[in-house]
Order: sequence, then structure tokens, then C-alpha cells
Amino acid sequence: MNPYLPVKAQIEEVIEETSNIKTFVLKPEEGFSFATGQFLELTVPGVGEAPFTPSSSPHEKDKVDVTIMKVGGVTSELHQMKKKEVVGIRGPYGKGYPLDKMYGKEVLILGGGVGMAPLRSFLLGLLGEADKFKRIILCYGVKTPEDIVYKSEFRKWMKNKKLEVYRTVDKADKGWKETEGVVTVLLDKFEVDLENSVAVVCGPPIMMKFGTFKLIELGHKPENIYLSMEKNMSCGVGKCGHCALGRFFVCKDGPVFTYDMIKDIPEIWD
Amino acid sequence: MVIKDIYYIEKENWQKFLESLLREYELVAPLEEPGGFEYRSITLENLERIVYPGVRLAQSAKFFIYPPQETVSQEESLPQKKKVILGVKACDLKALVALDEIFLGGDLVDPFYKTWRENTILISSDCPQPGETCFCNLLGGSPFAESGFDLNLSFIGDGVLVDVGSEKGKEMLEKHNVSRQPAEEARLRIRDADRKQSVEKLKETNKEFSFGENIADVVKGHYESPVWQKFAETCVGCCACTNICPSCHCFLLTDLSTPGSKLSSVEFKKLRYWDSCQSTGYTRVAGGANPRKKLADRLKNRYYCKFEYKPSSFNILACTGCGRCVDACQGKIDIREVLSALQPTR
Repeated sequence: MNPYLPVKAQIEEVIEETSNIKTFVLKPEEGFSFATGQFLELTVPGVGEAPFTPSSSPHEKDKVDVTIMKVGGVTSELHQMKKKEVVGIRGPYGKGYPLDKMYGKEVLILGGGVGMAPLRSFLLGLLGEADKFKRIILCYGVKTPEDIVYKSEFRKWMKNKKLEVYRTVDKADKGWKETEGVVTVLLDKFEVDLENSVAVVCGPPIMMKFGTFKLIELGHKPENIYLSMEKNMSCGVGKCGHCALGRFFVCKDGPVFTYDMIKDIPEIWD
Repeated sequence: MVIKDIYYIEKENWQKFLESLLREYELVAPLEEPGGFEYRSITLENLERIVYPGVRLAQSAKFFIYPPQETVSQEESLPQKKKVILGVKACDLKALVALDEIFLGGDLVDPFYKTWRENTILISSDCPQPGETCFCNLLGGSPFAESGFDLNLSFIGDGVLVDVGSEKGKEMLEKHNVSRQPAEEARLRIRDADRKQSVEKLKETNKEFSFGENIADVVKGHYESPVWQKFAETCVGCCACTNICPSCHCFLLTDLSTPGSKLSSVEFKKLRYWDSCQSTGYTRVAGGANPRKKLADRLKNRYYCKFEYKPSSFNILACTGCGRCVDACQGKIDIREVLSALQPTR
């Protein structure tokens, strides 16, 4: 088997989330199943390849969503692509969120910006078997209300009895009735059972850093904080070296790590 | 598998053996070229020019098993004929142990590396003249191969002692019916003396350097050391050290796929080429964030990768002491000096 060769996937739908974030609903030619938190390599034919974590439910078998911010070469080209066009995907790679270790616990999700993408998948994973979790709390922060992804889904989530949702924006506009301030302020709004909870964090590096520090300050244990690490995984299978994080390869040992596993590695927030 | 067969073969017969190998294999061996010793493809025309340098060549065995650039989407890029590489050294073979761990280990085998590896036969030879930059002795190595070869050669007088290191090597000798005799004790003693002499030479060459009591601790606790910045001052970021290294394995996958508007018209093609942790863009992620922006960070990473990360995750030392990076460095950075500078002053 050739691990470097993608399978074809047709773009079934393009959803504009914000001015620079789109969700692409992909229909792979062959079935593609993944555990939430695992990532895939997406090829824009003739342009390049980049790693993304699916944002759709792991329970969904024949489609996979990827929510992508336009930041570099591959993503800019991808943003030009339309419905019915063809990309490549290979994977899934790495270790996802260990849902089974979270059963019976309070699950705190802390997301920032487009970091909500893997967390949406995770959340949908949780909601797919919601009775197995004691409590699900979602905290989400973005720069402005305009930058919120999954706007219509948030409306549903906010009504969902199984879910507590807190949102904040760095800079509010007239219509914003929720919290204003950096995402960590949300953590002061509720209490969790520290002996029986996990926290899952994903967002830009600076948000991950201060989010994690705040959680630690509040008494969360490093082994119960799960982080999705962003590195430039190229091969996805632990051979090419790009995603080395200390002694780990993010592609095979991660991308989900507990803070405890990586806290002594100097490069983690850079 | 331990095969203890050692034969003595007259030089003339050894040459006939190589000639016979040409009928079955692609043979690559060192020739003396204007720029020094270089691996060349061997034919009947240049067979007589094969030399057995007393020290490693600039190129390592890695070049033949993990080529600098290859297409990793088509099966046809794989070899038609098995290849015999003649004159590789103990350091090259040790480096292959490291590459094997990466490419053949883990959950997923790299099929391209595996094919090249399986289709390559390695004939190593001793290093009677280790170079000024060789330091295998400081990393537990020696200037002669003890394992990892199919055949190993030690030249003495008018002949060569041939150690059989694998079933493949054994079959090759038998099939090509080389005239040989079991090595006599007297000849083995000569070889031992020769080998001892090259070990002594290495010791002399490296007497100024010390990597501390335990090589496993050579970089431990030195992450914040000023040594990295000091040595990075002459680094020009050319990546020669990683490109010449026999055990560096990093690569970048690039996309050469044919785009298309229909499913059927899209064709995927991937090319991989060696990449280097010394290049600025190596760790850069989309959006521009880069944990190793400075030369010193990247220089340090190379040492941590080889002496700390690889030993702890793969149980391999990813440096074999071949010293090629010292020869290749534009900034005259000597890995032996860097590692010695990290140790407390004696």
C-alpha cells in the first residue's frame, strides 16, 4: 500500500463561514472513517498538500467536512475551488480524542477562532452519545461576532439541553449580547468538578497557551487537559520529520496530546 | 543470524567475481575521479578502475537506498535489477540501522524505501585510513564493520579477507563460484593488527574531544546553553550537514498531480525530496508561525534530534560519527567541538 497517494474526493458543498473561513463538504470516492481529532492530508491537485482535522461528526461515514481558513498557498487555492471540483485526501492519521476516557465525566471544550473546526467534530462526537457524559460545556472565543464559525449550528447548540454554551468576542458590536473579552474570561463563569473532568483546547497558539495556563491556575490537572497541536505535518506517517515536537512526531503520537505529555517541551506554543 | 564464514580470496579472483556479478546485478563502486573518490556505475570498461578507499566517501549508502528525490506514486520508479554497492563503510551501515527504524518501523512501512533496501546488496570494506574528521570511535563505532553488511572486505597483501554477513552474501559467493579458501589464522592476525592500528589512529585524531561519560547524556540539560548561539554564529544555513548525513531522514512531499474538473481526469502524483531541519521554512506553519526562526534554534535541533529525540523514541543514536558534516560545513562547525563544548570543563 502506498501511504502517500490520496483518494479522490469531490467537493459537494462550500459553506462560507466568515470572510476568510469556508467549510468544504467532501465526498470521498472510497469510504473514509476517522476518530474525532485525527487529521487528514488534503491535496489541491497541482498545488500542494496540507494537514487539516475534519470538522464533521466521526459518526458520519460517507462525507467529511473540513473547515479551512485562507492563510497560505494551499488554502488560498482551495478557497477558489467550487462545488463538484476534485481534491485528494489521505489518512486519517494520528491519535484523536480518547472519548472512552471521558465517559462519565464533565467535558469542558475551549475553542478559539478556526480552532473550533476539530472541536465541532469532537462536539458532534460527544453529542452522538451524549448520555455517556456527565456534562458538556463549550466555551468559544473569536475576535468579532463576524468571525464566529458554524453560526447556524451555534443557534441549535445554544438550545441543546445537553450542552452549556459560553461565547465571547474580543471586540463586540452593537448586536452582541454575550461576553466581551479574551476566551479565558469564560472560564470564570462556571465551576467544574476538577476531580471528574477533562478539558479540550484548540485554537491559535497564543490562545492555547493562555487557555492552558488558566486551566492549570483553576486547578485542572495537566493529564486531563487535551491539546490539538498544529504543526506542518507533511507525510502524516512518522517518516518525514516536519512535525517533530521534542521526541514526538505530532502526526503519529498526536495531534492530540495531554498537556502532561508535552509540557516540558520548549517549542510547544511557538 | 550470525554467519561466521570468513574466506581469503586472491585479488585476481575477487576481480573475476565482480566481473561475474555484472551479469546479474547493477554494480556501483568507488572510482578515483578528478574530484576525489566517487561512486560510479560499473561496466566491463571501468571495472579495472575500482578502488577501495581507506576512508568513507563523501556519499553514503543512503544515496542509493533513499535517493535525494523520487516519485512516490508510481511503482515504475522502483529498480529493475538488484544493485550491489561496493565499498560502503561501517558508519554507513550503522546509519542504515537508523533509517530502517524510521522507514520500516512503526505502524506503517515506507514501500519505496523497503524496495530499495531489499534490492540492494551491501559490500563494505574496512577503513585502514580513517580521516581527520572521522570520529566513530567516540560514539561506540569502529573503523570496520561488524554487522549490517552482506559481505565485508579487509584487504591484506595480495588478497582480501571476505566476511560473510548474510544469507544473500553467502549465496552470491556460491552462485558466482569464486575461488576462495577459508581464512587462515595468520591472515586474521594481520587483519586484527591492521584494524587495531586504524582504531589507534582514530583515537589520536580525536584525543582533544570528549563527549562526557555517557553518550546518552551528551546534550541532556543543555537546551539553554550559550554553546548553540556561539556555534551558530558561523552557520550559513546551507543545509549541507543534513544533506550529507547518512542518517538524516527528513523529506518533503510535493504535489505534481494533474488537476481536473471531473473525477476521472484527476491524477495524483507525489514527489519527495530530502528536506532539512536547518532550512528556515522547515517548521513554518500556514500563517507564518515558526518555532525555529533562528539559526541557533535550528542548529540545536539537529543535535537534539540525533542525540536525544531519536534515542528516546526509536532507541537509536542518529549520528554514526562519520564526520561528513564537518567536511561539508561552510561555516567550519565541527560537531565534535560542539558536543565537547557542552560538557563541563575538565
